[in-house]
This record gives sequence, structure tokens and C-alpha cells, in this order.
Amino acid sequence: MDRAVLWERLDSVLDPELDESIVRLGFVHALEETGDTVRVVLRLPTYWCSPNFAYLMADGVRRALADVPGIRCVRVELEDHFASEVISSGVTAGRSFCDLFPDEAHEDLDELRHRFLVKGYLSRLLVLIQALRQAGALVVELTAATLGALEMCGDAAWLRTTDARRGPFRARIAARYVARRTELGLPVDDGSPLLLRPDGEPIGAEEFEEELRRLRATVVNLRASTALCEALLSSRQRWWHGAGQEVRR
Amino acid sequence: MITIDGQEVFVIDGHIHFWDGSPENWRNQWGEAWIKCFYDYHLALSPKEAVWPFEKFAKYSEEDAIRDLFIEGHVDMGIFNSTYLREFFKNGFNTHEQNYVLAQKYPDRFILCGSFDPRWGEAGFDVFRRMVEQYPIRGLKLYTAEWYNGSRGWKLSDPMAYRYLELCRELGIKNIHVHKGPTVYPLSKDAFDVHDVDYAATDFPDLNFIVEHVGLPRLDDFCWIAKQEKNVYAGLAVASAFIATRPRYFAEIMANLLYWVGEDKILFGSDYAIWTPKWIVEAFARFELPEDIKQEYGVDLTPQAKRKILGENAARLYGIDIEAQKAKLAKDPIGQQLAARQAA
Repeated sequence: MDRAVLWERLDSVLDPELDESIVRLGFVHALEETGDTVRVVLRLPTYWCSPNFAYLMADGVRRALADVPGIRCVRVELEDHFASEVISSGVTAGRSFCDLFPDEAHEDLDELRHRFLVKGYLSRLLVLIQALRQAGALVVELTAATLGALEMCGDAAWLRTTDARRGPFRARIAARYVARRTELGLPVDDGSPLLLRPDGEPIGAEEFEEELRRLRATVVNLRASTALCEALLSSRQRWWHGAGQEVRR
Repeated sequence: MITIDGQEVFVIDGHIHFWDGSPENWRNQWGEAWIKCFYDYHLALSPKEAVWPFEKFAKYSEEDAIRDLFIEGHVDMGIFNSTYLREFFKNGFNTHEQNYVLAQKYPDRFILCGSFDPRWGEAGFDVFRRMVEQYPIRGLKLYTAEWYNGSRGWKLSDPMAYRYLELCRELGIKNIHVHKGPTVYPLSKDAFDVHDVDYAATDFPDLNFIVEHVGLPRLDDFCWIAKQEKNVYAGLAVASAFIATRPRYFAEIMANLLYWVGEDKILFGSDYAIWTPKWIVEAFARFELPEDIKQEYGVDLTPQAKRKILGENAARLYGIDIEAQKAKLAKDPIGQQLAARQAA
């Protein structure tokens, strides 16, 4: 078994709220394989992390690893969480969220997942706009551009306008934006507008500034939450590594 | 009091506690997990010199609280955001009864919040009335993620919650602090929703709703609501603690609040004892928004805005005449201690 493949798959599992990989966030505490069984241990920033997000991540791990060739059983363990047992055993058995919390959850998590996919989309859109503005693109160029005007080559990307080429900026920024557009079912053909609101409406030059302010509020929230989660996770190491030890700050 | 731009500014800490999170008070593993989680917040954002050992954090003394808030912390008055958690702690975590121990000794220094829980049903109406009769309850702190009899939370838009809000009207309680911060309930999409506040604020336009923790991690949703509802306010507790170790995020959060909510509707809070107010108030008094953020949002954190946020807005909500209050406070035991310190 190639462990690099397993880590690569895990890296594709996102914290839905933070739109960031659970590996990069440091939530994967252990990855072990024995024969055709793989065991993944997750540790989240607090004992009280919302069980719906905890479930989405744990279930995301199961799905990401289930079809790796040679793997027949994925055991996901959520450690040190108020709903550890329910989520760990439930996810390993492939049960749905409503199944696990029959008295408290009345709908499955598709709508929640969608809501945070949209927030992540807004964040990726803002990052794209900021990268392009920094590369010299004018507002009118951005609002007039189509997706086909994005050019990617290796790690670099550019935006073609009628008489200029804006860039380079990091291709990952464009790729992440297009990927999320696909996930949301928004058009990705070359002729579709570069800047789309999550409801599929293009962003015009007149409403550009107001749209940008809304995007910023969402992104500030997301980044502040990420910073808080990272700081909490780092504080929490103290309990796992034994009291009395210096906390990594 | 803190000096900003050469002027003395009156400070009301809109979010403080006097809790007992000690092992003796833990009812079960959740009590332990609760206070440890709070301690993680403390460690995560406190500057090094303001970090306490866990044992002190779990249970601090009356003297600690008076010193941290008033003697060293620049705070003139504090609002007790009572938090009950009776399913986690034998005597409750930070009940109004416990907060009253301090409020009784220094009546001009504290504003005491009580609470209700709609899951008490009609049977709780009398309990609520008695609480308001027996204690000087001036506001409420509602904690919708409280566990109760197998339920892990409730919503402000629940019909029984409305019955209690009507009771607040009748009893003259106008200020409702609502915890809308990190939460575990409800388990589905609503967990990340502040819209129940929206409904209640529309239906009770004569009550004020102070959303504690500015809805983080739902800041954006909170901003849209607070912009529309003129009786929805932003409580800065938790957000304010970003100021030392994450100043850029703090600046961005403030810029958003100033733009969407406005400087008249933001209330300072330290969330003491998760964090001590001294370093937060001092940093806030000095704080300037970075130039690029000012430009982007077209807002500024001026000395006037700081004055409003630190004290004037809360004073207005609670009907406090700041000049008259200052004169009263100068004569209480804490005021005398402060004067003696200054003389020495």
C-alpha cells in the first residue's frame, strides 16, 4: 500500500466550514494500515465542535479512502469529542447523520453542505478577484471577461482582455475557483462570464463594489474562524501531551 | 476608565462572568470538558503575560475578579452574562445567584442578567417572576445551546420563547443578550444560523437584542441581520480577544461591523475570565485600522467610535447617566481604592 496515495486522498477532504483540507489543518492525528484495513484518527479543535461538521469530515474520510485499490475496510475514529462513539461507529458502518441522531437531526446534511460550498465559493471568487486586481486588471475588464479568457500554464495563470494580458498570478487560485464552480453546477464553458454570483447571475460593473463588500464579510468570517480553530487546536495539544508540558504557541 | 486621545473614557465591560469550573463542581465529564475548552480559548488568544494556570482559571476568587476588572482592567462597570449549565455543573457554572455575591457587595459596579429557558414551559413562568422579584435583574442572557432533559438546545423563535419575551415586556426587562457563538446545536443546518434572532427582533421591536460574539462563526449572516433590524446590537466578546495575537483579523472584523452595523450598535466585552480586560482595553484604546482596510471599507475606528463602543452604547441601553454614575462610583469601596492608588 502506497501511503502517499492515502495521504493524498485525505488531503482532498475539507473542513466544510473552513474550506480547507483537514490534513493542512492538522486534524488527522493518525493513519494506520493493516492488511486491507485502514484506520484514521481525527482530532478536532474542540470537544464541542458541531457534530454535523464532525460527521461530514469523518464521512468524507471514509468516502475518500473507500475506493483506494486494496482497501476493503475504512475505520474512522473521532477522538475526544462529546459524540465520539456515535460518530465513529456510525461512520465506519456507513450510516447517515439522521440515523445517528434520530431525535435531534431532522434533515440530512445536504443543505448544510451546500450552504458551506457556497461560502467557500464566495471566498475563492474573492481571492481570484483580488489576485487579478493586483495583477492590474480593471473592474470593467473583470466584469466583461469570460471564463475562456483565463489561461493557465504550469503554476501560472493570466487573464486575456481585449488589448492586454493580466498576470501572472497563481494558477491554483483559478483552478480552485473553477473546481468549486463545477461542484456547484454553475456554468464552466468558455463563453460563460468570469464573475458569477452563486445564483448564476453575472456581476456587473455597477454592482461590483457592493458585491465585493459582501464577499469580504463572508471571507473575514471564514478566516477568523480558521485562525481560531488553529489556535484552539494548538492549545488543545496540552491535554493530549500531558499537563505541565509547554504549550506550543 | 481609559485615556483615549487625552480624554477619559468610561468603560462598561458588556460580557463578564464569575464562575466555578472547579473539579468539585463538575457533575460529569461534560463539566470537565467545558472548562477545559474555555481554557483552550484562554490559551489560544491571551498574550503570554496574561496566561493563568488552569487551577486558577477553573475557580478564581472575588478579589481576583475585582482586581482584574476594576483595579487593573480599566473597567468601570460590568454586565454579568449568567450561564447556568446545570447539567454539567452541580451548582451551575455561573448562575445569577453566584454573580449576585459580587453584585450585592458592589451594586453600582455590576449589571446582573438572569435568564429563561422555554423548555421550562409554563411551569417556569413563576420561577422567572420570582427571579426578577428577588434579584436586581436588569437584563437577560440567553444561551440557546444549553442542554436540558435530553434536549441540546432551543431557538429564540420557538413559541414558548415568545411567551417569555412577552413576560420580559411586562416586567420591564428590555435588554436581551443572546449567545450566538460557537455552538453544538441544533444539529442540522440551523446550527449555523442567527435568523431566530431576526424573527424575535422583528416581533419585539421594543426589546434590544445584543448578539454576543457577533455571531462568530456567522459574522456575515449576523451583519446582514443587524443592518436591517435597528434593535439588534453587536457584542464584541471573543472578537475583541483577537486584538493582541491576531490584530489583522480584529481590524477586518471591526471594519465589517462598522460598515454593516455602525458605531452606535457595537458593545465592548472581554468575556472575563476567559480573558482579562486589561490588555484588551489598552490595545483597543491604541488600536488603529490599517490604512488599506480603511480605504477598502470606507470606515474608521475614531476616538469617538471607541468611546461609544467602550461605554456609551451600553450606558444608553441600560439608562445609565455616565457623569452621575462616575460620581457614584468614585465613592464606593473600589472607587476609593483606585483614588488611594492614584494618590500613592
